[in-house]
Amino acid sequence: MERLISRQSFAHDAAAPSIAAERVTVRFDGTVALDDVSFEIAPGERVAVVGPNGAGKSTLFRVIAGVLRPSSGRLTLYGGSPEEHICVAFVPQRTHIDLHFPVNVRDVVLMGRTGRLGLLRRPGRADRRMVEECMELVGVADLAERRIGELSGGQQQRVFIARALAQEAQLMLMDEPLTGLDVNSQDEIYRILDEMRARGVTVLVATHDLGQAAHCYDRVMLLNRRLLGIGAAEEVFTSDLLGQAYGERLRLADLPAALAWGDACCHGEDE
Amino acid sequence: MPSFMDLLLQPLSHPFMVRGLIAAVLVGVVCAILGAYVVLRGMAFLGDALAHSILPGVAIGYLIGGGARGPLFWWGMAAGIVTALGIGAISRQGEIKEDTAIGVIFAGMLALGVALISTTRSYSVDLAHFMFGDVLGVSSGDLVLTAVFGALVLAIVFAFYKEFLVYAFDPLLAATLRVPTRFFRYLLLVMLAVTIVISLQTVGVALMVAMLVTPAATALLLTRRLPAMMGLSAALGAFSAIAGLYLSYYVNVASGAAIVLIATALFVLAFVVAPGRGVLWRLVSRDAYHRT
Repeated sequence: MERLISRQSFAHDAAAPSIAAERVTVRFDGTVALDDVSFEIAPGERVAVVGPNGAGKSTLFRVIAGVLRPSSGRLTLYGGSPEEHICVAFVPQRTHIDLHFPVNVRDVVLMGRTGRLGLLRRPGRADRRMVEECMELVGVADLAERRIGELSGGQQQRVFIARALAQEAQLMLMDEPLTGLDVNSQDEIYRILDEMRARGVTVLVATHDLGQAAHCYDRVMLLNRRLLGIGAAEEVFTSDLLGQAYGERLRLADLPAALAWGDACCHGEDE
Repeated sequence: MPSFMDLLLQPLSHPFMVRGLIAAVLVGVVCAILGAYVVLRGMAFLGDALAHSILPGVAIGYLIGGGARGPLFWWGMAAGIVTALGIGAISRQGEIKEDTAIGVIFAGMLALGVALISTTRSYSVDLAHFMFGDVLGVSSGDLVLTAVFGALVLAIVFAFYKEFLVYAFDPLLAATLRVPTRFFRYLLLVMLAVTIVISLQTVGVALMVAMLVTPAATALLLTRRLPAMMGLSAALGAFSAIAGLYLSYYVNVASGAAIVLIATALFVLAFVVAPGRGVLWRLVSRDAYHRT
């Protein structure tokens, strides 16, 4: 009961990678969603996870978040099993949430404290102060009283990031966070992600945008059920590997264009 | 001509009316608060099915007890909890879609209940009581059970408020926050079963879902945060119960139906005039938009 009431995060092995996957395989009813995937990601890294629809990006995220067990293989976070951690935050796609739900921005950010508090404990003054700070940090403090469904897509993403901060997340998984956002909102999100990198938070972002993946991340991971490559964009986004991921569609002709797209994303770094 | 106060007080001279009012208000409040989660999680069909699935349990108790009303509560409770756990288990295995599974169990259990009750001589009267309730037949013992179990349900809703909120908002988030989601899913189903059983005599099996869903849906249209939604839902549930019983007394319509009709009228009203979200509001703001 003690463990339930005040739950501490699993002690992190400082020397261990934030994520280590060893031959992770996930099967659903005979179809293979992830096939023999192995990689390591260091604390504080920002990695883009790229691949076609059905490539297993969400499956991988669910394994990392500790809500799905691999059929075989092993995945550890900071040396421990994912279920032991309450420092993994999932930032959902906009379509994933019910926009009519009666919660305001402050309520949503406060949800991040749920796991830290444990059962039967109510949030105290320290929790509430932390929620205000997290909202300040991502620039949604002035929206605190607004219903979540009334916000724009970019504002919602920032609220979910604030919730991850309130959760004291060390590892953040973001599913298509920038889809449908205008350039200013995207810049704002990248500014926040830079801040999180400075705090040592590891961030994995699933994206379809190869250009941004190449320019705005430390490394890219190319996934099509199997791990086709992980590393610098120049090494991974080769016509051969992209061909294996996307088929012939994205071969030679589109490639330079794809990589040239997304300069808009990193104004801060270029200037 | 009687004054308004006379109209209000006159029915209270009958003890069965007083007991009925207390029962209806208790049930109205508990259903309306738990109903907030039923509405937000999209469990209306499940709630309806669960209510109908209690019928065979009640019928067996009725047959065994030779028509005694006392033990029916416990038979209904047992049937409700077994069905709640069964639905929880079936919808987890994923071979059959959840709403299909619920539909199969729901109709099958209802048929079993009707078949069992049809073996009694007073078939149609008994069936009508179970299907549509008999709030004016509530005994003092029933009232005590309703109050105790209703208070238990509300205490659980209050104690696990933050967990239920996260679970209802986003089960995946709840899982990553290490909230035991399976436990809370089953707990919600069992609480639903208990609430349905204590409401059985007030509104009956067939109209149960209205008590769970309608006040909460009305409140959702008019509020912005969950505590306010629950509070308003409870007030609407209590008001519908009282107004429904008075309507039933003076117009001589079935009490369960009268309660549900009041609740439905309030919903329609909110649906039309809710500020910011009602139909009327949208029409007006569209006009304003066209004029500019």
